[in-house]
Order: sequence, then structure tokens, then C-alpha cells
Amino acid sequence: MKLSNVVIDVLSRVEGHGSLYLELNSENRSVKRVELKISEGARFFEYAIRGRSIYEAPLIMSRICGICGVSHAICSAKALENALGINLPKEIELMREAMLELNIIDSHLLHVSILSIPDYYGVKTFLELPSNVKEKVINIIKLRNYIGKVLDILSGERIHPRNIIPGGFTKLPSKEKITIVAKELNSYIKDLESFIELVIDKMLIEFKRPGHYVSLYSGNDYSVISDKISIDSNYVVNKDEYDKYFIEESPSYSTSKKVLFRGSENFMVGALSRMNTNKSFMVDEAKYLLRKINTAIPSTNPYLIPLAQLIETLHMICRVIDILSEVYIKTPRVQIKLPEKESHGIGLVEAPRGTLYHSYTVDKEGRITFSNVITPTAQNTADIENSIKMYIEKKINKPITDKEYIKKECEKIIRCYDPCISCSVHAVILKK
Amino acid sequence: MRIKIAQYSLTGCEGCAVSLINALAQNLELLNIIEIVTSRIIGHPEIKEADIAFVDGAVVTEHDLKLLNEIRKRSKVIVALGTCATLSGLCSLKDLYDQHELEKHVYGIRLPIAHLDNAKPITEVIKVDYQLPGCPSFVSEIDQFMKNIILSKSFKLPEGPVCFECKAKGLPCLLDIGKTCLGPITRRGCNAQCIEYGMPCWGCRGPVDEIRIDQFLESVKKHNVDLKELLKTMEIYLLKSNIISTIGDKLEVK
Repeated sequence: MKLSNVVIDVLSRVEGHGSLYLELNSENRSVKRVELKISEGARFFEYAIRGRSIYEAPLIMSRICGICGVSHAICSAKALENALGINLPKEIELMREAMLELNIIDSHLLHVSILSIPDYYGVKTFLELPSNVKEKVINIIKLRNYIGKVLDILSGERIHPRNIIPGGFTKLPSKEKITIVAKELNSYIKDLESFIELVIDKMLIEFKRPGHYVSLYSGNDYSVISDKISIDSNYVVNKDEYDKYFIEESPSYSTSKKVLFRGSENFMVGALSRMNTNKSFMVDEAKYLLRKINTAIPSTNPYLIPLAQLIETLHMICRVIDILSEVYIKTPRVQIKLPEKESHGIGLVEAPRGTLYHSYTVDKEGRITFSNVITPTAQNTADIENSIKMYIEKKINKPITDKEYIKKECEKIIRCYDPCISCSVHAVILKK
Repeated sequence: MRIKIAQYSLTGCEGCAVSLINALAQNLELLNIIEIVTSRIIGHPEIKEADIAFVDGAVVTEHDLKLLNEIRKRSKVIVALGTCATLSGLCSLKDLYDQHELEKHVYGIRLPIAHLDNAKPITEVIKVDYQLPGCPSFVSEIDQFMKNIILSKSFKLPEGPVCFECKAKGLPCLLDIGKTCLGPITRRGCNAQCIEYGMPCWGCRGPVDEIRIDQFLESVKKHNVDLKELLKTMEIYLLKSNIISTIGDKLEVK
């Protein structure tokens, strides 16, 4: 048996410190081992949050990640509201939805405009793109700047929001201010559509691979907040059953957890999974683009993720405009009552890279006594490893002794998933 | 020749790296004057000689420590970007528990990479030329810093507490209603963003130069702010600054 190793030390154009280790058998083209190693330092958020007040938790947990901070804050607030038995009025839920969507758009646009686009044109960074492409990428960067401005206005700060607490928001800007920013967002839609037209063919790369896909589901919208999870558009489980189906493990080679469906199977979460599950609830503009790739969906082809991110961005921009033009919030938060006894709660939201899970136990004084966070990237890790294995065993059209080529192609696949490594290393599994 | 810029992230959320990118994205013409030689996010992970290196995150692992010393050797000017870099920020929250206690609660495994006993701000490990604190660091301040550098002007953080900005905006004082707001002892420059959005100041920009501790404590006591809560709020960002022990001693609460 001829074994050789391929190592990518530092994954570039991803968020966080990661590396890839491969052990290949060149005789029968098989992959003996594939390990996505995450070597980011551990910050033990779930442990350090113990003893702290529920009012601080969402904004502290936001600091798990500099890209998905808004999603962590909202997910944390939702889990705490669940523990306290609070239901929010529709308009506060809608404002949360808009913020989550803006966070998803912000992250997706960073991924497509700076992180992944060089892969489609064979360059190293977005600065070396051909001028006609670069021009359109710059329009996308400008759109993203504007999305950031909207988030700044709604939440105080786009990276780590300032106003999210259990029960709603400490404060929100005036209705007039919100309506004005929503209106201006309309003018950017054309630039996004024209960018999608430009890259759509380059992004359609075929790759069939077995695997599950998972996302939130409500049965009546393109969900970013829900208590139900759909698996393969086939069955639906409630958030309370989450840990029965999705089992966490801590691989010895990584500071990130890894989550497996039914304890052994890889699955994907994120833009493509959401589109697979909820495409019928997209706005018409996004459905129109979907028609062009309809035959390929549902799919677990990782090459389609950046395209799904773009189509989803178009859908979500339309959705955000609708919400912000109409929503009227009289009081930004509901009164909360501390629990009579220690209570447990779970929150689920769709973060940029997929379903995010927070759970907490809260005591009578409103202090956190237990916390657990399961991030999208921890869920995608096994799927990334599977995609790389399948790619080398089934798809690669060069000898697998060409290490440089393998490295490059593997890095491209990993990048498609847009892994968020800071996020995944919030901690390791803690005993209850 | 363009100014060579490097961007490095140690342990942290990388929000400050994103802030830096956001600042550049709003000012793409800057790319005619500066050149990004190192940035894993942009696509250049290699360590290179640079005129200015922006470093975010805290020193949490052995690798962070090694990398940081290497960065110092290769960069003319180093900017500590964000509160993890200037005060070790939320990376220190775990230091309230000893490593043994943390590991005891870890299921079955040991951490596969070597961690230091305590998280350190980069300012404690190497000589730092400038600091841009904030959680995350502020786009407007990064922007101002860049402009000054390009014009070969020096850069100084604004002096005075957050209260100055709060008052200028006409915001009601949160201490007056008994909230644990650290505005009076925290350096301004954030435009009182948190307070404007209804959240008390947690001190992410670090202590102000001329700190009036007695005046602050007087006002804290007058408005019946819970003193234990006050110290707990200070743990979030100020665990590595002297101010927490000074105030703790004065208040005689543990």
C-alpha cells in the first residue's frame, strides 16, 4: 500500500485558523484519513458565561464570532426567552428576522466578493480579477457597505450589536429612520442581479455526492427563526429533540466540536440546505434565478453553495425591504419575569452558515448556570471532510500524486462551505 | 512605493479584522496608496515585511506567542487592533477559572493545541506602537488612523470619558437610574454607541487617562448601583487592567 500525506497548513480566505490533513493511498485512489484541523485557541464561552446575568448573555455570546455576532446574540436571546417562557409580539420577531437576514447578507457578500470569487478566475485575491469582473465585484462591495450601514442603524453596530436582550431590544431607531434606509436598499438590487448573471455559469460545477441537508423549517416561509428543523425535506423534528438526532463529538485533532446526524452521518447546513428546504417560499425575483439551476436542486453539491448564497441574498434583500417598510414597533421589548425555579431553554436561528443552536439553564436570580452552543461550522465539518474524500476518490481528473493540485482543489471545496472557524471554536463539549 | 500593510489575527472573534476590511471597503481608493502584503482573509497568509501590521486577538496559545514575536521582527509599526489586543478582552473571561477546572469539565479530551495559562493582551508581550481599542474596533477610528499615517501625521486616541460624548448627544445618564455604566471611567471615541442604544458602557475602550475614581464611586453609591454587579461588569473587559483591583479594594467587596 502506497501512502502519501497532503497537508495544507494555513487555509487562506477563510475566517479563522484551520488546516487540512490528508492521508492518501495512491494505488487504489482512496482516502485513508481526512481531518479538518481547527487550531484556533479555545475561549470557553459556554463555561465563562456561567454565573452571569441573562441581560448580558446575548451581547457577550455575540463575541463568539466577528462575522455572525448578530446571529449569536439573537439566538442567545431566543434561548433565554424560551427558558423564561416568554413569547414575543409579531413585530419584534419581524425585526429580529430582518436583522438575521442582514447578518446573513453581510456575511454572504463578504464571502462572494472577497473570499471565494478569486477561485473562479484563477487568481489569488480579488484585487487581481479581470477589470470587467472587478468592476462588478466593487458594486457588490458597495452593496455590502450599505447593508452594514442598515445594520449599524438598526443595532448600533453591525459586528457586535448593542441592543439585543431577552424580551426584545433595549432601543430601536425611529420608524422614519428605518423607512428611509429600507427605501434606499432598492437601488442596489440591479447590481446584485447583474453580478449573479456574470458568475452563474462559472459557479455551476457538477459533483454528485450522497449526504443529508438540514435547515430550519416552518411550512410557511423561508425560515430564519423557527422551532422546527427539516432533514432532507423528508422529516421534521422539534428543537427539544435536537440532541437526540444531532450528536456532538470532540475530535482529538481539533479545538472544534464535530456534529454527526444520528451519531455517524455527515450532513450540511447553510445557504444550499435552506434553499433545498424552503425554495418554494422565496420571492419571485429569486425564484426566477432558481429556474436556471432548477434541475440541480435539491442538492448536496458544495460547489453550489456560493451560488445559493447569492440567490438567497437577493431573496433576503427583498424580504428585509418589505419588513422594514412595514414594521411598526411601539414598545421594543416585553417585560420579563424571572423563573420560579431553575429553567432550561433552547433557541434556534439560521446564521449565515446554517442552523445555530444555543441552550441555557437559568436560575431564580436570572443567572446562567449552564450553556451549550452548537455552531453551523461544527455541523458542517464532517460534511466538508466527506466532500473532500468523495472528490479525491470519484471526481479528480489528475493523478493523486499531484499534491499541489490536490491542495488547491481541496482548499476550493473547503472555501465553498465558507467555514467560520472562530465560531466553531467557542469551546469544547462541556459536562452537564 | 505603496505603504505595505499586514493584517494578523491571533485568538479572538476576528471581528476587528472584519472592521479593518470594512474600513478599507468604504475607501477603496486607499488601495492606490497602500498594499496589503499579508492577510489570511484576503488570500495572503504568509508573514511578510510590512510598514504597518494590524494585530487583532489576544495571546491565548503557544502559537499566538510565537507568531506575535515573529510579527514584531517583520513589521516597522504595530497596531493593536481591538480590545482583545489591547486588554485581552473577552479572551480573559476564562481566566476567572483555572485551567484545571475548565479541563475537568471537558468531555474526554484534552485540548489538542498548547494553551498558555492566561490570556494576554499583545501589549503585554511585545512593544506596540499604536492602540485602537474597541469591541469591535471602530471603522471611523481605523479610517482616521489610516489617513494620519498616509499624511505622516501622528495619531492620538481622544482623551476624556465616554460621558463627554453621551452628554453631547443629550442622552439620559444610565448611572442616574442605577445601571452599572462604566462610561465615567472609560475612554471616549465610541460616540457613546452602546448608551445611545440603551446599553450601559462595559468599558471596551479601556480606562481613560485621567481617571477620577473617587468621583465615580461617589456617584455610583449615590445612585444605589449594585457594587457587586459593578465589579462583575468590569470583569468583561477590564480584568487585565489595574482599575478593577483599585476599585475592588476601595469598595471592599469581593
